[in-house]
Amino acid sequence: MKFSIKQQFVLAATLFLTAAMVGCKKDNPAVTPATIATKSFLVSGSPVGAFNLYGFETGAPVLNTDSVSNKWDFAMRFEKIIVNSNSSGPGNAGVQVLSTPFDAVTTAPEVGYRYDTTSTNLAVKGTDWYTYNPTTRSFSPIAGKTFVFRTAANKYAKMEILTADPTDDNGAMVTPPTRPTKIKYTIRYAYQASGTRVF
Amino acid sequence: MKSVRQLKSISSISCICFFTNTYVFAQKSLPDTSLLDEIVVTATRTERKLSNVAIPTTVISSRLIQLSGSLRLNEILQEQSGLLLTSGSGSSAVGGGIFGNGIQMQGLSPDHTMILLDGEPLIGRQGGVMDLSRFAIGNIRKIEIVKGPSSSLYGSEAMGGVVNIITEPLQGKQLQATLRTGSFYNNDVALSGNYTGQKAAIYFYSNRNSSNGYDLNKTTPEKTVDPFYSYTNQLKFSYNFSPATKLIISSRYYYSNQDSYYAINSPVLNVGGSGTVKDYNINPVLYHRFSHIVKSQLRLYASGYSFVQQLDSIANGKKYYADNFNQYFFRAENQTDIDCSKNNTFTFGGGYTVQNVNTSRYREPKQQHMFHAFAQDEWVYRKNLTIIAGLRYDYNSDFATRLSPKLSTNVKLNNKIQLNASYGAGFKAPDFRQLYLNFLNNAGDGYSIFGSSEFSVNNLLEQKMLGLVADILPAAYQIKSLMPEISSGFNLGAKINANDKLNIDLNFFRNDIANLINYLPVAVNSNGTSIFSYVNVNSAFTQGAEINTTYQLFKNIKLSGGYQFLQTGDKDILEQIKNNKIYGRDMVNGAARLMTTKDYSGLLNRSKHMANFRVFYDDATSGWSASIRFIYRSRWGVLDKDGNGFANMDAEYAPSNLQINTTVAKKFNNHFTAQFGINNLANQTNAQFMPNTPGLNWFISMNYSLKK
Repeated sequence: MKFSIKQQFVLAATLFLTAAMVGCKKDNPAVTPATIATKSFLVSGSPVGAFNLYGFETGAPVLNTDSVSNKWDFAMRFEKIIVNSNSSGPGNAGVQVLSTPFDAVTTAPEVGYRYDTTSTNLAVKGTDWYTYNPTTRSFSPIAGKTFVFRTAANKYAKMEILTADPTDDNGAMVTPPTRPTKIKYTIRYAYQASGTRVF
Repeated sequence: MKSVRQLKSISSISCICFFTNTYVFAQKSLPDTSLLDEIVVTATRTERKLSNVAIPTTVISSRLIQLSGSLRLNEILQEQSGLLLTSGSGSSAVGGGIFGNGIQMQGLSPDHTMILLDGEPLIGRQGGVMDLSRFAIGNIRKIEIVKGPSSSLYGSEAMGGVVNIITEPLQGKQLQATLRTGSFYNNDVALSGNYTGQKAAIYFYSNRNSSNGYDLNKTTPEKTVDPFYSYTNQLKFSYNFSPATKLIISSRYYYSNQDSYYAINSPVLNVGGSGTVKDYNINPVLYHRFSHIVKSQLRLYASGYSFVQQLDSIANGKKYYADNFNQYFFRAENQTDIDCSKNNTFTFGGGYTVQNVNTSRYREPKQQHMFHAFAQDEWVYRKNLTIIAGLRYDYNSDFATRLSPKLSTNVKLNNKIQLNASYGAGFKAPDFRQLYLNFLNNAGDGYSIFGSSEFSVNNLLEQKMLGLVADILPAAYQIKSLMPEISSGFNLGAKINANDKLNIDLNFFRNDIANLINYLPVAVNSNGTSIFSYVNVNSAFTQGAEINTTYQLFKNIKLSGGYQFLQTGDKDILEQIKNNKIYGRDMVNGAARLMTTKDYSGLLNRSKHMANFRVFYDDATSGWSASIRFIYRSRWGVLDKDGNGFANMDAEYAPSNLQINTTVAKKFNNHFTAQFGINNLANQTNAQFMPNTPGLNWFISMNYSLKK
C-alpha cells in the first residue's frame, strides 16, 4: 500500500516520537530521591550484653525479638558496631567506612563491603570512626567519615555519626566521675529504598 | 654604678649572712619601686641584679603576696602575666585529666614547669601535675619566675620555665601570728618566728588550713571541691662557723586529708572515703668561701611524697577503690662559683640523684639513678654587654643521656633601654608513670594502660594466640624505649626604664617541642576493651609575645598591667590540615567540612589572650593598704567533639573568664594588721571547666607581728 506524503510524514513523526520516548526512557530512568533524616537513639553503655538494633527502612530502633530477621541493618553496644550478616545475623548487610564527608558521597561503591567474621573480628573497628580519651572517658566521632551500608535487604544507605554522648538511662548527659549507663548517638543518614546506589 | 660583683666581694669578707645582705629592698611599704635593683638567683644560679639578667624573670615580693591576701602558691601565681593555672594535665594535644592546679608557662603544660623550693625540686606529681595548693606562702620572702627552657641549669622538667619559692632569710628576732576565716569556713591559722643570735639562727613556721569545700553544680550529688584540712610545718636552722662558712638546714612537713564522694552510678553505687597526701623535705646546705674568688656550696636534699586514697561503697561498706603512691627522692650536689676576673664568672657543679617509686599501679617498686654535671660562664664586656653560656649533662639509668645548652645575652643600649636574647634547650625525662604504669581500670570500661617498659609486642602476640587479645593495632609496633620530650626555646625581649615611674618589659618567645609523649591505643582485648601505652608521638610549637608595664601613679599607688598573646599547635595536625585530610563539623548545620589553618585553634587548654591589670595602694604612714586585681583569660579549647584533635566549634570551648579580686587592710599601732578581701567579685564560675575556682568569696584576717 502506498502512503501519501502526508501519511508518510505522520508515520515518520509517530515513529520518531515513539523512538524518542523509548530513547528518553533509557536516558532518564526514574530517580527516587533517598530519604535523609537525622535521628538520635540510646545505646547500651555497657561493654557486654545485648546490642541495640537499628534499621534504615523504618529509620528507628528495632526490637531484640526481631533479631533473626532483615528488619535491622546494624546494631550498636557502647562503641561497637555490628552488621546484619554472616556471624552477626541472617541478613546480607555489609559496611565500609569512607574518609569522605557525608554530602560528598553521592554514590555507594559497588564493592568493598565488609562483614563481621566472628564476634571479635568485626567489619567496623573503633579506630575507623572515633578517637577515645580514657581520662575523660569520652569518645568523639571523627568528622568527615561516612559509613556506607548495603542493608540486610540489599538496599543502600549512607550514615554519619554526629555525636556520641554519655548519658544516664533517660538520655540526660552525665560527666565524669559519674559513669554513663547509655550512649546517645545522633546520626544523619540517607536511605535509598529503590535499591540503586544513588543517594 | 657599682657592679654587683664588687659589692659582693667587699661584703662577703666582712659580714655574717653574705648571701642576704645584698637584699636591697625593705620589706616595709612601697611594693617594688626599686624592683630593678632586686637580687635574683634563679636565672643563673648566682646572685644577679634583676636589671642585669638576660632571661625573662619576674619577682613576686612577700609584700605583694600580703597585699593580695594570697595564702597558697596557686593563688598568687594565677595573677601573674603569662602564667595560667590549669587543672588539665598531660602533654598531649587532646585534653587530659583533672589532677589539681598546675602552672602553664609560655603555653607549655604543667608537667613542663619545674617548681623549686629554695633551689631544690619539689616532688609529688599526679599525672605530671604538681598540685600547687600544697604550698603555703605566708612565710616566704619572694617567688622568682624564670621563663624559657632552663634545663641547662635545672635539668629535666625545666622546659617551659622555673618557679622558685624562696623562704624567709634568717635575720632579726620576730614572732608572727595570723588568724583568718572566710567563705566555705576556709580557716587558716599560722604561727611563725625567728631568732637570730651571734652565730646561730632558727626559724619556724606552722600552719593549719581547712575548708568545707564548695559546690558549683547543685544538680549533681557530688561537691565540686570536697572538705579538706592540711598542716604545714617548717623549721630552718643556720649556723655560721666563720665569716666564710655557713650551714643552713631547712625542713618541711606537709599533711593533708580530703574527703571524697563520688556518685558513680547513683543511687545504685555511691562511694565515699578520703585521700591523704604527705610530703616532707630536708635540705642541709653548706656554704664555704675559699677565697675572694672562689666559693662553693654542698647541697643535700631528701624528699618524700605519699598519696593514699580509699573509697568504699556507701551502701554496704565494700571496698571500691584503693590507690597508693609513694615517691622518695635523694640528691647530693655541689656548685662552685669562680670569679675568674672582674668581668668573668665561671660556675660549675654536679650531683647524683636517686628516686624510688612504689605504687599499687606498678608491678613492683622502681628506682632511677641519675648523674648530672653543669657549667656556665658569664662574661661582661664594658658593663654594657653580658653573655652567658651554659651546658648541662644528664645521665639517667633508664634512658639516653641528655645535653642541654643555653646561650643568653643582655645589651644595655643606654641607661634606659636594654635588649636581651636567649636560646636554650629543655627536656623532660619520661616519668615513672610513662615507663612503668601497669594499670587496669576494672570499673566500667576496663581499659588498661601500660608504661612503655612494661609493654611488649611479643606478649601481645602470645595473648592473641590464646584468644585473650582480639586485635593488635599498628601503634603497638611503634612502642620502643621512650625518649625524653625535648624542646628548644628562643626569647627576645627589651626592658625599658622610661623614667623613675614607668617600666616596660617586652618579650617574644618561640618554643619548638618534639617527642611529646602521649598514650595511644595499641591493642583491643577480646572483650572489646582497649589497651593503651605511651609513645613519643607529637611535635608541637608555642609562640607569642608578652608585655608588662608598671607605673608608679602617686607615691602610694602603683599600677601594673600585663598581656600575653599565645599561639600553639600540634605540627602533625597542621600538616594534615594543609594536606586536606582533616574535617570538622560546621557550627551551623552540623555537616562535616574540610578544616583550614584558620580553623585550627591549636592545643587544647590554651588561651590566645591573657591580660591582667592590678592597682596597689600602700601607705606606710597611715597604715592603710588596698588592692584591686583584674585577671582575664580568653576562651580555651576543652573538648574535641568531632574527632579531629582540636577545638573548632563553639561547644568545644570553655568561655572566657574574668576574675576580680580586692583587698583592703589597716595596720594598727605597728603590730597589728587587719585585712579584708573579696575574691571573684564578678562571680564568674564554670563547674565543668574551672572546678578549682569558687564563686564570690570573702575573707578576713588578723595578723599580729612582734619584731625586735
